[in-house]
Amino acid sequence: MACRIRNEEDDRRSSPSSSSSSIVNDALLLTTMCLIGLPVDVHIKDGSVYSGIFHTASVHDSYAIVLKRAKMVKKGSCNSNVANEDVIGTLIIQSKDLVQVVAKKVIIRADGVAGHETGDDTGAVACSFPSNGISLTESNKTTSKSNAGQPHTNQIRCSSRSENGFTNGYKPENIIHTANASEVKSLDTRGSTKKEENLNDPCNNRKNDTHTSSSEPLVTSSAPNEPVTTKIPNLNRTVKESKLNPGAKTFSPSFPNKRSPTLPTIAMGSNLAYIPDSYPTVPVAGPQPEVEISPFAPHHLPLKFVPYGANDVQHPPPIVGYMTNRSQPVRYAGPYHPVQTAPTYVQPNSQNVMVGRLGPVVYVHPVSQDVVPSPNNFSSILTPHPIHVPKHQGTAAGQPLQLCVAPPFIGGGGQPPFVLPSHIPVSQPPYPVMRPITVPGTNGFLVSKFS
Amino acid sequence: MDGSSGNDEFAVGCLLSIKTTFGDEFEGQIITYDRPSNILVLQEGLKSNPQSRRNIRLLKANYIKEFSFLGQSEDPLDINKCYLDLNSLQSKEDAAVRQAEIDVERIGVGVTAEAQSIFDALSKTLPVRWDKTAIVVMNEVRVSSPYLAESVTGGTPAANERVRKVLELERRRLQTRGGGGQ
Repeated sequence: MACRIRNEEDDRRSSPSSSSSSIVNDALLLTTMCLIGLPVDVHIKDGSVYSGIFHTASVHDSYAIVLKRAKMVKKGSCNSNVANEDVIGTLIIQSKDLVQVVAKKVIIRADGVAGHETGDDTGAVACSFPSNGISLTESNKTTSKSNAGQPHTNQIRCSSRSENGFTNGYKPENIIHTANASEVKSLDTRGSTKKEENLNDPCNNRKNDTHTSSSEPLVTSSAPNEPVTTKIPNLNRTVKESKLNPGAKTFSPSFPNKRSPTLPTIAMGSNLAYIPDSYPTVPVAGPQPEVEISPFAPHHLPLKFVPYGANDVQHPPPIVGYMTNRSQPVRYAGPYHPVQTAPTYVQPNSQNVMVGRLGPVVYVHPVSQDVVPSPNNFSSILTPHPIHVPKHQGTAAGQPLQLCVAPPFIGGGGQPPFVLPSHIPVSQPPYPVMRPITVPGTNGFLVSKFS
Repeated sequence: MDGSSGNDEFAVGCLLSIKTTFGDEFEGQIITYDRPSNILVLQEGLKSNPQSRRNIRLLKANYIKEFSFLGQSEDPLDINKCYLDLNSLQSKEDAAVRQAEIDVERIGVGVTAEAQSIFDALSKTLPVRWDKTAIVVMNEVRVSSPYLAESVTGGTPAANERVRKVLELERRRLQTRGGGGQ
């Protein structure tokens, strides 16, 4: 508690406290806090006195206070807009009007106020840590929140799909991306995608929902590339893809261009991609039918589909690396062949791209991410991925395609977060959170290994 | 140090006798002085138990007309030993606001002081509330303007009779109290 309070206070101070001189000192702040909720008499410059419950005070620049249930008990020389007998729900007394605040029977002593035996120790801690504690708590909160939401999603997804990991990683990005995104499109896609997905698969529905929320931003980011997404199925796919895309975007701006070309080709594939529980099919199908989707698809594809992703998306590269270890090529071949009639050339491109990108992508992450976890993650991720992949595959086992995809996804899930942070400077704060989350949530195995 | 008030930095722990520009006079110990806001925090009642509750004054230093130095005592506040429970603060405020609202409910609007005193007296023994200028007892018996036994209306005969009795008793008590005061 002490820490929290302190933190808040510190926050108040810290924001304005860049000019520390403008902030009241600790003792006044403490006194102010002790007055909260107590009946006080406030003397005003014109001589009037208001009695009310001390609600809060501004400790920036000037010391202004807010009273609740205030009532004028003594009329001053100036006419105010306050009727004499009325009770004022909230009365703000500005610094220039404030003369004196009188509170009766107050205990300022820390022990008295808190009534806690531990007051001394905690107090000391709070005092020493206020600034740090605040930042920590905030970060923790964010992390915990993200973790709470994301890890679960990740796990779920892992079991059902590989997308989960991505969504988690992307969420922060999404926020960032929102600016970029054409929200209308994303919204439309969301709604349509959700409906369609629901119809298609319960699992998909879940994923979509989660994705839609998280992916929306992603979608939006991708949306700019693609003006219109008319088809619902496509939209759904796009949403998934969008998640992938964010990662891709984050990875490297340059990639999108490459992807876009590849994507259309990919789009050539079947729209039904959903059917394949595994993402690989989905991305292909979605983007192909609709040109618009294509941008999304490329983005999505990398994430969801290892082969595509590798080609188009940055994420894939890392995945690819893993994949390659595992003999992904075979898998790729399977998914692509059906889809690819027209896009054949795309595949080569994608593969080539994948290889080249993989290296760069990895570098980007460590570089961009100052955070310690990133480097560790990368190294660890690489090693762990093989392991993860098998596990995920096992979980995903039901679907052959998924199995292949899943490993990449998982890997991607872990990686995307990392990647994203690196890409988006703004997102960095969120990322730290994301990272912790990603690590534990994505792979228990990885974590243990890493650690 | 402080140009606006012409005072030097207020030393924490000083016992001062202060007279404000509004004529207030009091003695207190300086808890702290905040120069940015020019606020002097004082506590009164030093002679009592140090753990007892004290009056706290936050005074703008530029409204100090004059002050005299009475003495010096130990630092009144150890910042490093301060502890605040935000939850308890919030609950304290909530409770205070609730109490204030209840108190407000008890104050009749546009009624005489006598009516209010009758209301207060009745409230000691019966659940009462104001309905404009009428006192509603037990949600069924109404005591209207002159607030005499004859003005008690409504409710069951038993309740009506009980309110009449209490009203008469309270009126008598108020009269005797007022008479005693005179």
